[in-house]
Amino acid sequence: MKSIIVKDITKSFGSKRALDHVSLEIRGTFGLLGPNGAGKTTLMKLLATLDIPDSGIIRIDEDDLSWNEPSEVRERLGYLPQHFSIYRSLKVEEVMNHFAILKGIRGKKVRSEAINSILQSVNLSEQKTKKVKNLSGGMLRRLGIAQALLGNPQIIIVDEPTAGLDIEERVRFCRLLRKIGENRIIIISTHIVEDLESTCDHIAIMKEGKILQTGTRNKLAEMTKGLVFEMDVPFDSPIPIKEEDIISIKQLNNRYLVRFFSEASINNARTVDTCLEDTYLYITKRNLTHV
Amino acid sequence: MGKLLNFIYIIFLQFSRQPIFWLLLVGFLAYEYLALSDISSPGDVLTSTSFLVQAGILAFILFGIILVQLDHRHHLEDLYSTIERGMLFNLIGKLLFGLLLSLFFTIIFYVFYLIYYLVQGFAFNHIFISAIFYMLLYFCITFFISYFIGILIAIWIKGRLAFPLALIAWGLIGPINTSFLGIHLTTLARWLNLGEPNPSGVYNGLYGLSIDWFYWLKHFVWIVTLIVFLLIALYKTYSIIKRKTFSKLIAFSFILLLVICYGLSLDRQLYITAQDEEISRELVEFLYYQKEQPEAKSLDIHALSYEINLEINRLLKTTVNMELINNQGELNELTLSLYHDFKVKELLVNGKIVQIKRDKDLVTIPLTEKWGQDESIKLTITYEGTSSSLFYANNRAIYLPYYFNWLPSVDASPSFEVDSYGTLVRNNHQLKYPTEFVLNYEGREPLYTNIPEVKPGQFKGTSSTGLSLLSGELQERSVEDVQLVYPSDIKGNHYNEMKDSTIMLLNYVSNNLGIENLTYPKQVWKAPTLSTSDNSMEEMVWYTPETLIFSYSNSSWYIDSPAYFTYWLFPAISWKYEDIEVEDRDVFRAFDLMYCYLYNQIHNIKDEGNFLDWYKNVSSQGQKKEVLYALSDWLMENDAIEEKQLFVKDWYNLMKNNNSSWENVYKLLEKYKGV
Ligand SMILES: Nc1ncnc2c1ncn2[C@@H]1O[C@H](COP(=O)(O)OP(=O)(O)OP(=O)(O)O)[C@@H](O)[C@H]1O
Ligand SMILES: [Mg+2]
Repeated sequence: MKSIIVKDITKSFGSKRALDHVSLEIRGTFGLLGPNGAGKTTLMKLLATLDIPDSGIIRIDEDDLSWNEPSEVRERLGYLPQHFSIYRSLKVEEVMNHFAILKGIRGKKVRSEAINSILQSVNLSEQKTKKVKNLSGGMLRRLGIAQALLGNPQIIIVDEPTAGLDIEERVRFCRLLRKIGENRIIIISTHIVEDLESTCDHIAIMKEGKILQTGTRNKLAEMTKGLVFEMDVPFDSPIPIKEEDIISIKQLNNRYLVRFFSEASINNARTVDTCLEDTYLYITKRNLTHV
Repeated sequence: MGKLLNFIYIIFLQFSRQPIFWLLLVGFLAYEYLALSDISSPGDVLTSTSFLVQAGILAFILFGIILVQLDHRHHLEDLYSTIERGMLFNLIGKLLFGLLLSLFFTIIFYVFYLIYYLVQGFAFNHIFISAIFYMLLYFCITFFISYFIGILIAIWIKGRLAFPLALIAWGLIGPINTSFLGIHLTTLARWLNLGEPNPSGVYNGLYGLSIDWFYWLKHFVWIVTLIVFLLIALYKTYSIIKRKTFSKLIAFSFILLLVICYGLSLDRQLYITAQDEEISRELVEFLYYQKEQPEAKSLDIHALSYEINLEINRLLKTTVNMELINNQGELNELTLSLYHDFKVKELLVNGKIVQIKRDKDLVTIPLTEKWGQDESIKLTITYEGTSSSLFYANNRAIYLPYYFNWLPSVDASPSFEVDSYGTLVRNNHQLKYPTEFVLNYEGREPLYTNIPEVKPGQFKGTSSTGLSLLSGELQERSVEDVQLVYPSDIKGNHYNEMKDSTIMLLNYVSNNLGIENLTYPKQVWKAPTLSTSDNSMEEMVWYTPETLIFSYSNSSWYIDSPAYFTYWLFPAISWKYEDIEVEDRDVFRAFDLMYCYLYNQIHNIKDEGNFLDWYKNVSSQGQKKEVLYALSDWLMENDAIEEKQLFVKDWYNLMKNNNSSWENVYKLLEKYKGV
């Protein structure tokens, strides 16, 4: 399987270092997880050839493809920007046709077949003749991914695709990304962990321009095995856990269910199965590169 | 190409789905219709469309800004940049769309304009061709430049700040920018103005529209400058072009700019009407001739022939071979007159170069060998320059009449003079003897002259008055063997009324004053030069048996008031034609007024005597005053017509014999009236 090698990338804006010696191997459906300002968009823009790094290289060895030759990369690229929107008075098919021509898909018939099949796959066939201004937020985002799929690109870059969508749309969108992710590299950035749980095989967690952890979803989830506990606390008693160790507090009938980190076992607490979210919180809170 | 068209199409779709766009178009056309229905000449209407252009400029700047801001709002610049050349196609597509949109507006405007005037009964003639160029220049290119400016503003200025900037740009580049810049910055305003250069002026039926090369070059300066800014944006803002390409393109643009600026800096003649503080064409000559002019002895020599190789383009360039004959005693020097802006490059006498002395309009030629009586000499004179702004000579218009010394003239008087009450008058340099002419001509076609064309570009013939050249935004028609030449923006009606009146006056004057050869010419030209001296009735019409020239501007051959026509025509066919000179030009005026008033009276032409106030209004003293008052009183009494007729006839003879001092007129008046 092909992978994009990101090696020692640094990028600064003035004195602000947005990416700090970032190295990654991106393959399959790849999730980039990090809080606001982590540098996800900056990295995505470099990957999308919108900017060039101060130092470091990006390449695909198998294809002998280097990001120093952006025009070759662009031929294999589909990009969905963080804030995707498009001319409101155009119809969905007009938008698709516009990008299809721009991406060099020749022949009217070839184009319309490609457009139809993509719209079908993103479930927008019925909206084909609707104007952009009449689309819902989810539909607009699906149009964005449809546009990125034109020309059957090998690499798809999707920046914060679920921001602003309701739960139902978010789930649907993630399922769509999962489907698209077969046979190509797709990079998804987000700060919502759930988005990645069902879509991504490989995940990198970043913060303040640095990669804290990378690995498969399961491997990351298991990282905090034995470190996550739950305990019941009655309503009227204080919670005996330090603020920064608390993962979540759930209100049940007559008590709180508190989930928290702890290096050692604690009375009345039971170890539980860990998930990706636990690991994400654990390492971003502590800026950990090792557990 | 397909990708560019695709961008154009996408923008077009968006525009066409905005009702406001169609409203704008309809408003534009409605405004045009108002202008058309208000102004009857297809020439005038264009020079008065400045407000429309001003409005168009604003609309197009805004179009440019809005299109770029739309991309900002949708964050599309990133998306386009991930597609190979996407952003480049986007920007160029936007520009092309602007060009097409400007062209679309222009074509709509033109078609509307054309149909309107054709329906009004105008023949399709050259002005409708010139109008295409005019609209391309001042609508299409101007709108495109505005749009281009809008795009650049929006590329660099993100957000709402772009709009106040747009307003500033709009104020600076519109044809009425003097209202924003104030009259003290007229020169700057002129340079920035992308619309009609004479927005408050009038259309000149001879010169035509302001579509000189100069104005195209001025627009090109703008376009190249904007391209430079675009290149900077492509290189810096979008990183679309590489440094090497960028440097090459920038260097090329600057070379282009230099070439254009060189073109702009060349000497040339342009039609400019007086505007705000600027001095009028008339005033230029006035200021020049108001100063003392050199005098020369008048010599009894005359020209036998002129052979002229003439090229009129940006400048008038010519080599004239002329043969002169000496009708008086020996001469070792000779003085000719030639309009001062025609600079003599070389002068040969009988094939030998001589050093001339130039003093304003006079050229003094030393003769190395004595020039005896009845002997002829050959002069070869090469000169070039811009003509007087009251006698056009460039690639747009030519009006070089026989009475102007555009050719070296044996009549050694200046081209103009300022008369006793400060009016600029044109001096008559007409010839007195039959003279042969050969003219080889290169310049605007067709050229109208009073000698026949023997082959393309060559004219040959004899004239007793001189050579007249005419070309410009004109049309031609023949009526009963008479060649009529007149501005292409008028219908030229009422020719027969003019002709009948003219023939009647010609016949009367010929019999009454005994002037020979007063026949109706085979050429009648209407060449409005729109100078203020045209308001003086002695300057309205010029006559030779070959050509009748009307220089006033109105839309028909005849004028509404037949009485006035007498006053305008009469000087041309009497003392001007006979080249009579007097010391005080008021003598002419006093004489003309009386003669014409009587003529109108005798022929029952309704004449309210409006001009007669002049006798008592003009400043005068002593005998002159007495004569003028007496004449006025006499004319008010509507009897003794016969005595009056005899009186003016005798008066004319006095003038002809150089005896028309006020004293002599006084005596004559005493004889007929008894003062
Ligand atoms: N063009 C820029 N100029 C200056 N600073 C920038 C620029 N782009 C990003 N930054 C800074 O770099 C850091 C990383 O920003 P980036 O947008 O990559 O974060 P992100 O992970 O995408 O955050 P979010 O989840 O909010 O989208 C931030 O501190 C941001 O302020
Ligand atoms: Mg981001």
